Amino acid sequence: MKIQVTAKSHAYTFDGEPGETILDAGLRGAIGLPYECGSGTCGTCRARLVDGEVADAWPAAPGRRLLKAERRELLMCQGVALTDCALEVPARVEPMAEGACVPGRLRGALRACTPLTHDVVQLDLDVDPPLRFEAGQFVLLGVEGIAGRRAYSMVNFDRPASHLRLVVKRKPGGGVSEWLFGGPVAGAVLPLFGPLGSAIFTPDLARHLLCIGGGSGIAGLMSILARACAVGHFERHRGHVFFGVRTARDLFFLDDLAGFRAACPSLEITIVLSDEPCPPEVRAAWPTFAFDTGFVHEAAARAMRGRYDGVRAFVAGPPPMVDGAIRVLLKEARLAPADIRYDKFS
Amino acid sequence: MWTRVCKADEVPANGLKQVAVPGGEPVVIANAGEEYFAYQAYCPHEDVPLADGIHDGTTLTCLEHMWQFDLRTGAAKADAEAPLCAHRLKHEHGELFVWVEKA
Repeated sequence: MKIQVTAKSHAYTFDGEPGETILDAGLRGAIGLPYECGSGTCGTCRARLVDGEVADAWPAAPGRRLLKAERRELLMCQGVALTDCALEVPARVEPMAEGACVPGRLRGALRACTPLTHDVVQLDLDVDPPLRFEAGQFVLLGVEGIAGRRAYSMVNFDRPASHLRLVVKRKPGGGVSEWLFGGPVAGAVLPLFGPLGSAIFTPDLARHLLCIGGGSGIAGLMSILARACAVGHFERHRGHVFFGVRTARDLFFLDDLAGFRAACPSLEITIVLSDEPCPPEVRAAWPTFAFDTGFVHEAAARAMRGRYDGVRAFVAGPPPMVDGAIRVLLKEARLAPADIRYDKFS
Repeated sequence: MWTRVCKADEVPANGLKQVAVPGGEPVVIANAGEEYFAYQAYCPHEDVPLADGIHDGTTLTCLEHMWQFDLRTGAAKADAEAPLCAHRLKHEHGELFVWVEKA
């Protein structure tokens, strides 16, 4: 199917395969179509259908709240071209930069699904072909027979990576999450699309890093820390990590965080519990971490006051936490928007 | 004509409030100290309510995608690709009025 997209800046034509979403088809062709979540929630990939027929893969997608049906608007991440079609995108669209990690389709064989806490699991997938991605990016994961795809950040960093580690929080009623928590799933082969996302760390970034993660949002920040440690970023720049969860039993990845700290002694890591003071045995077990109580973005604001010069912040977590952190970073820290990186995919 | 939209003290101090305008589109009122400004209620980017954004006395930021606007003029800043439509506003005896063109 020929798909033509006219944007504010350029017009593009690309091929969509049967069953493939318009967003996937364009991104696969290294066209920088607008998106954030790629999974039907944010509404950023809105477009207007000018000509042709498009099927909607997930008519209940929450991102549809921004659409105007009478204008034939649709979400490119859910729209599958049934005929040749023409669309208008109300945004600037540029070709992806040279050297960009162009997303594509791949298959992930689920090697293991390991509990990290009572409601968080870690997925280890073997992917073929190996995936070239930037630290902080995510993939879309689908499960046959379940509508919609979900976005999960890579925890690890390798280039290219033949193994991907993801973190999934249990969401009662969530199709993919219920499937993962519902029984033995190891061995399943899942369709993936990626890498996606612009909240990335690359080694040429001459900035101090501030990472604020809530719950499973720590996943992508782990990839950023892994790459930053590996390239010696913290020998030249400061690093501040704030990881917030509700209670001590919700904590995970502390061994890995302590490993980063051991490798990069200048890295400051603060564990923040919102619902209880940190138990003494946890403090004792992790002597290289600082601890605080309250909302993670408020703890970060307390600790970072006066230390925002030359900082780039990466934020990931539940939407209220991300919004709270962005408010702090704009209003108190007065960071420029370009220095506040986050992807909205919750 | 001048149309009353709300009491001045209904706008949070140094904050934002969306108000309905009889006979017109809704607007967002920004307060900064003694000053008030009125703009189109929705971000020109993706129709997100600007009242959900923030301002620091100088710059109004829509938190959806960080489009920024000059608080005093509505001019586009940084990544914003379009300015805000400003409405004339007056503050009299604790009441705020915006100018609505007669249809």
